[in-house]
Amino acid sequence: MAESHDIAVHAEHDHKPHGWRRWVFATNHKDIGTMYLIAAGTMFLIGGLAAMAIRAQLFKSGMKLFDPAMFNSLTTMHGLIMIFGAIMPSWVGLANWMIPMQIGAPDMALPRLNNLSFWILPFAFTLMIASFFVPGGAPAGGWTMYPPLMQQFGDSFPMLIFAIHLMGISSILGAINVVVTIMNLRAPGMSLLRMPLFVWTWLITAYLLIAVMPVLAGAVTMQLTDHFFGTSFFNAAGGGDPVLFLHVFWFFGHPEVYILILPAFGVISEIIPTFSRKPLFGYEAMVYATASIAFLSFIVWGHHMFTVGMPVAAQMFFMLSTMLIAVPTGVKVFNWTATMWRGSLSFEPPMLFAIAFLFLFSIGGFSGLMLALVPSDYQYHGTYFVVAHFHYVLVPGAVFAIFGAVYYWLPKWCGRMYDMRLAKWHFWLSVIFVNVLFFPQHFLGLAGMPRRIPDYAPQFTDWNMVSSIGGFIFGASQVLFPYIVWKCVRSGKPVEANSPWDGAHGLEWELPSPAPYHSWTTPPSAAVLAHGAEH
Amino acid sequence: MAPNIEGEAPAGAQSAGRRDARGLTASQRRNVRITTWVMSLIALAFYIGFIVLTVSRAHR
Repeated sequence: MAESHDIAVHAEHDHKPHGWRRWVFATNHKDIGTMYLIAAGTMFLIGGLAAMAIRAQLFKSGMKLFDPAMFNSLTTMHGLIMIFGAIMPSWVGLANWMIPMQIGAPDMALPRLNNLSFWILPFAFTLMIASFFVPGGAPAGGWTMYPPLMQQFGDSFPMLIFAIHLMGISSILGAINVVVTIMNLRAPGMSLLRMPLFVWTWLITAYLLIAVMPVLAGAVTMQLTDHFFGTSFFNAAGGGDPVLFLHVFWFFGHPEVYILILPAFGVISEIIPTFSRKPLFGYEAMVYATASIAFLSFIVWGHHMFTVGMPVAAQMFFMLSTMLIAVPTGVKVFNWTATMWRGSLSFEPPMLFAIAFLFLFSIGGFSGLMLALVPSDYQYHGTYFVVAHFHYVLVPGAVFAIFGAVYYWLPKWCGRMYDMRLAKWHFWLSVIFVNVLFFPQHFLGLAGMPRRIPDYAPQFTDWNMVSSIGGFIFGASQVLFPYIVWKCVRSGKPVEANSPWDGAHGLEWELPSPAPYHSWTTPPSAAVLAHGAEH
Repeated sequence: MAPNIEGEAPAGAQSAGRRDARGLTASQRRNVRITTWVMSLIALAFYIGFIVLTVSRAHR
């Protein structure tokens, strides 16, 4: 009887709008989070198809699937789509879903702004992708948009600049919403140092976004005025300096890398304690390490441009400050390992992705240290070694963490369990072939193969073939992921308990499954907070 | 707890005393406003600041 009453009350609480109005006018953080995740998934697919095309062209020396201009467009658009269209919106989607539930808030603080942040994106993505179809083709100067090369493209140039502005506005509005929500809407008793690590890493990420997205917007605006209004910010003929763009761009670009990876650190810090059945080792150290990494990200931009030329003192500064990042990152890797030490481990899909993250992200971190050394960087710069490095950080790093997060929280979102066997197939195919795809690129780079070329000398063929085969299988195996999610939402086995994971702590697991449309309509009580809090 | 498109609020909020339809107290509403303004001004400062910095460096 009591149960049926609860269900009736629950249904009354839901009273969600139906039809298209639910999505177009959405102010509910869960609906907006879902839309972000679907949009990001679509962009993953488009960016992934571009990646497959790139690997097809590079399958062997002399392939002529695309002309060089189209190949350059594919690499440029692959980078832009994956960074701004896929990974960043995935994190914003997860933030929308999880932050209010994790801090005991009823919703995001600014729900209508939240709606605007999302609905800007489809227009930005369309504008960016539409540039493939204008005269002159899509931008082909690399995702870094260096002048004067970038300004030599036709109509696609202002289209990309406008798309970047839109995506930047969306990110800034989203970040303001995250900061305002976390600073003001935490449940009574949820002090800053009791917040889950995912919330902490997102708070710090939001500060990074607020600081650096306007810098990117400023830089591309100046390119726009150089091109159309006769200014000479980056035009040497008019007294400007193209190298200045590199400085401004990388002042944005390096923190951007951490914008992509810090929420991943948060997710891993949620998953590993759950499946180790132990509290996170060194919670406060993790918080301070995240803040240190964020601070350092502002003073290391020069390591992206050692070969451009700069005073030795500046090279030394950027080299040493970059190497310093290894310290807080090492703290994190050590703490995750120490959390697992003597834990009661189990290896469900989220934990498998977290452990793979730990190993493979560390490989990307170590190759990053090699690139931080000025003399070494002179050898590696502009080669496939760099491509291998940042793909290790972003694919088995950020993307694996996104997979882990979805496999971890999906049962809470839809109240159903996914097909564990298929999810493990997804994991093993991904983890094996991501290495087949990217590890040989280290060898190619060390052997001297330049990046961003549509063809190469025949001696690079063997490892390129291996890399392409890895890429095709890795790409094809990702089809499993949307199928697993779709199957779970439609017909997964209902989850009886609030949490399907017996080691999980946190306020989100105190809510029923599926999470009600309006959660924490009254703040959690002290008892619930004490039971759910991790620390 | 956010109002849906019809502007209704869930029952929990309405019974929560001094909380408004979105479940926020008066001080939370004030702090939300202040934090939003501060964050927006920081973003604007970085935008304008870096353009000014670039102008000053570009034409020396």
